[in-house]
Amino acid sequence: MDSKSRVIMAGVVIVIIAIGAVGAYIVIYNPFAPTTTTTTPGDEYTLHILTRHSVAIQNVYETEFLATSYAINNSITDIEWQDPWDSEWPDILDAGWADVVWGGGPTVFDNLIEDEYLEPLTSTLMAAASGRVPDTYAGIDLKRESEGDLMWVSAAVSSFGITVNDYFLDLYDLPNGTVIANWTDLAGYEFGQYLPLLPTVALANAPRSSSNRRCYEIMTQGYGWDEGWSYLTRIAGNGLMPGGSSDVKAAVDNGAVGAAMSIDFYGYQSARDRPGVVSYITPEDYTIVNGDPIAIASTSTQKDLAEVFVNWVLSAEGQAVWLNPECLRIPVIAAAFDEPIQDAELHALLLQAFNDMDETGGFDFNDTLSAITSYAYRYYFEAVLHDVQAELVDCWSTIVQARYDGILDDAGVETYADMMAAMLSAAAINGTYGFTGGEFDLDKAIELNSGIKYDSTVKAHFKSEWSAAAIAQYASVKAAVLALYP
Amino acid sequence: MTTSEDTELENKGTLEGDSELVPADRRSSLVSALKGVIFNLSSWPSRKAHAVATWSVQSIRRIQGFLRDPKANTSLWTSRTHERIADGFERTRRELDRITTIQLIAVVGVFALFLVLPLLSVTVFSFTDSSGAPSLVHFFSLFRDPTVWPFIYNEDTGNIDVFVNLESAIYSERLNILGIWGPDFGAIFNSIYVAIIVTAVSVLLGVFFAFIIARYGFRGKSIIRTILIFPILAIPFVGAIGIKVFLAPNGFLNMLFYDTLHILPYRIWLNGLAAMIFVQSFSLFSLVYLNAYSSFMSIDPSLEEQAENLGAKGFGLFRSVTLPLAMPGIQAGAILTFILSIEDLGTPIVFQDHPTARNTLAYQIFQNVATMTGVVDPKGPAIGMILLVFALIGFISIRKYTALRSYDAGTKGGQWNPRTRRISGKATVLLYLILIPVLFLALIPQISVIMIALAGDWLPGSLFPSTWTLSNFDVLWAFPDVARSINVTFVYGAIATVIIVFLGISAANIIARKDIPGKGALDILVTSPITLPGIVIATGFFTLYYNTPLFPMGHPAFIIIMSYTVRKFPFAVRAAYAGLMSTPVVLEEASLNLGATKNQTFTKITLPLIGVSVLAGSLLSFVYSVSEVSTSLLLGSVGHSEAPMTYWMSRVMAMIGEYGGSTSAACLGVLLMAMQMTVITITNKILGARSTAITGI
Repeated sequence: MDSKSRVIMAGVVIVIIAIGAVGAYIVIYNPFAPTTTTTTPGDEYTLHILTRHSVAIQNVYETEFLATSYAINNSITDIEWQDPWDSEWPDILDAGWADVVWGGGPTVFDNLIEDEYLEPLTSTLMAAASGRVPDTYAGIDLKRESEGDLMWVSAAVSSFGITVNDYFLDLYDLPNGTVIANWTDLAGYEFGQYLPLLPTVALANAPRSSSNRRCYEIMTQGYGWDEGWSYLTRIAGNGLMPGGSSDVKAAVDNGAVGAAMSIDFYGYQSARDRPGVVSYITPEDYTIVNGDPIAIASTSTQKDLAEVFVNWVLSAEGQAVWLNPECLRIPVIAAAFDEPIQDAELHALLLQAFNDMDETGGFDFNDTLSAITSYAYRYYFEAVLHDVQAELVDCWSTIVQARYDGILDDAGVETYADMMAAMLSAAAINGTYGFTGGEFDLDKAIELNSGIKYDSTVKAHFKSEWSAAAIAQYASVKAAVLALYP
Repeated sequence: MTTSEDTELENKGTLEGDSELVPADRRSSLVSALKGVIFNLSSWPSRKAHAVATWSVQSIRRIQGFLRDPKANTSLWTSRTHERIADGFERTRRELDRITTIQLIAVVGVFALFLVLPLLSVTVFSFTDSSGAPSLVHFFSLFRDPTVWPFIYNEDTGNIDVFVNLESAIYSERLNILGIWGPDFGAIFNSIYVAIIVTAVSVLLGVFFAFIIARYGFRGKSIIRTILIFPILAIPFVGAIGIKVFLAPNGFLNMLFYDTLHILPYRIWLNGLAAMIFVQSFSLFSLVYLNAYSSFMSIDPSLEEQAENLGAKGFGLFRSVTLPLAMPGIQAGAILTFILSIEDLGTPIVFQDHPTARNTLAYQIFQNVATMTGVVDPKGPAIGMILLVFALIGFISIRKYTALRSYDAGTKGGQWNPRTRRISGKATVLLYLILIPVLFLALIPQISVIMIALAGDWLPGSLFPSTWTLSNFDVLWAFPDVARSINVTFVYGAIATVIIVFLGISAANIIARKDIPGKGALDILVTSPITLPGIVIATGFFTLYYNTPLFPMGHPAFIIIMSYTVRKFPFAVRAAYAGLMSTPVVLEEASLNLGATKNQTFTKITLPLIGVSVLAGSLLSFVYSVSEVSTSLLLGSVGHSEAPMTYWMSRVMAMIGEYGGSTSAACLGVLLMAMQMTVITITNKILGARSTAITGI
């Protein structure tokens, strides 16, 4: 090898080493880390929080908390947040990164209890902190125990309702915000009059939005399993499914649809952003309040610091941060409203919501039933309403058209809509799995829940069966309606 | 060597066969082209049937021959295999000098660590059943799912149920709107037919523009050359809003053509798969343009002059001489377009509100991997494998097809003074009548991102905001991590691009110039990353490397860089490969004959000759790295201070409050575009005149 070749080879080796060194430098020294904070082990601490809360909430809470005596006295100088999809939560929790787990709704936290990722809140400090939160609010439990130990406490509450865009509704001569009062209004055939071209109600696929799923469960628990699914099917027939709950919010905000399923703070924000055009409606038929939990990770190596944060979040001072315009959430402690006011208008709005919810309360929503059917529920929804929505819309628009053509009256619409939405049956899967087939009633949902959660073969089998059965059912109902025409 | 020459001659014979080499005039060339199309289409089934029959007969004969004396034949086969392996070793030993060995080890090492292993760690679940035993149950399940596969055996009736929805458009009299969304054949066929149409349209547009820019001079050409790069500047999340607004029933296009000009009898509303085809075609044609332009510019003018001297002109000259010479670049662009179309997740997510857009492979993977249930559904990776297979079939067929029509000795290396011809004023006007609408459609996402970023109040139903403001950019000061993400993104893109350039040249050199066994597999390995869904790879990083030195808790920087490196590698490697294919090997042989070593030849002859192509590819790698979405979203979420801009665009967009929503995300989009354009411009300045061949700026 001549000298030039050696030089070239040396160059290649140097470049590869340099690249490796840059990588190693990034890994070890993390030059992108915030420069405003320094963490010296032993003196100053960084708290790690795994969350579903938005970056805005993270930002506000971090700033407020680090300025408190709670943080200063315990040498907590920084908070790091991680907010990946739930599918990565087990890796993060297993690695012991997270100290606090925060936000995502009761079902997420109930699953974390089941998988033993939550630390019981048994210390004196935690007993005092949770003692400041009422056990129930508006008829729902704000705390969850497992085997006698407190596992999570709600740090905020939310209700569920409908966000409407009157510009869209008036443009297309549809029932507007002054008319819509109940969930069932969204299932009306009037909202399907421009189908299959123009959907009018935005909703999320059940697996992609826990808040929208709560709205669906409110209907299926409030009106009963069969009737609730019948309304849901019609709403999906009228519906646009643009993705997750933030996409649903964007659809109604932008006027792509006239109404949308919504968690309350999305509704408040939309109404604030587009006054006179968008408003938020709390349904008169059924609604519930949901606690949004906070807990300590069982794998945390800084549980004492995690307790400091949870203690502050559950104080009046920490709860008042929810009233910040960047958060727009309803506190769980009434004393939060006595803290200094940042935005008078917002303060009044949220106080009104807090009192209204507490007074009117929700109906007797069965959280346990929700937890034990959750996975079967979301994938049945996906299989029959989301994945084959084109066929559903085809069938529902035929029924609606028949109503406008005078072929069907209101009772006829009800009859055929119920036929379209009749709960579907699936064949049994290989005996070794131990799942019988049959109609997807409440018992079947309970039976299939863990199989669908943990065994993807079971999930794939039932989803395919349900989708194929739904397509056949929609086609047969459509044919039956068309047969009514002279 | 003799064999390949024979094949080439044979192919030339087949291709040119009964047609004269250079048609006499434009009319006869058009007629012969049309005749060719009709003949080829009509004879395709019979040719294919003949080929299959021949293959079957030969296979049967081979099996019969083998069975006549199995023992002797087995021993013959064994000894031949031994010979092949020995020959392979010998060739490898001969071809692999030290520099090539280092190149090979570096490429294979990086791909093994950051692509193959993470991918295997996720996909292995697709090949096991619920008890953990090896099984193809998840793949069989796909073919029982009517949303993926339309022909399903019905055990009850014994028939095959067909789940195809041919209703692809509808006219609403009440709304006076024609809605078009395309037929639904299930995810597999939908992705394929969308990709084929998108590739065809992109090649037509890309080659047309590349040829015009390369060969004609006209007023405003320099501006057009710059603008033609813009469509590749993908703006995740926010660009989508603009596209939907423009395509909506009361959007710009309908306002113009229906309400104002009254050209359309009704409003047209593209949705679902039809909208995907529209959006992808008007974005991806830029890729073909870039690659084809590079090829047109590197054609030796004397070849075309010789053809002209022999009587060729106009379309005949283009079809018989220019196009085949530019084929390596067009091939690179077509391959990238086909694969990117089939893999693209952004567009189906934008149009997911229509059910047909959800029935695409990329969307189905997304739906089953990002499950929000704490468990990755093996169905996602299983569909990912299918997507990989189809994308690679597309890649191999395009490569094979265009290889038959390409001439690798088309240039003598380097750039030439282009044979540009000034066109008349009338022709310029005509050209602009075509250019402006196409460029406008292609630039809708970019234009709308700028508009959204600067919008104050924007009333529903209005085409433009009623007030304009810069205050949306306050999001940068509100969140330190958001401002920091600009530097972070640039650094990630730059480091990844440097690695890509080194490894990309290495890989292309081995594939194009070295005769070692398995180089075809290497070609597929280094091209496959863009077909592999980013979320599957990112999930693999989590499964395999989380809480290790490669991916420390809370510090995803290194793994993000490496994910960009492997995922955006194909842009550089395909461009470098095209460069090598357009550069005659005789130049390198001459260098070797004159006493230069292989290493000297590579660095002093090969590298300078393919430098322009490599740079074009690496620029694409940079541009696509900084706008990468899927791995950025997942990996950025576990280390906010190291998260890139696309992560923050997604988070800011979904946020409520003063700094949340599309306006803030659009501000980040504008900054992202500015960064991409700055890098392209600076590169051009540094390279001076040579750079015109890359981007035309």
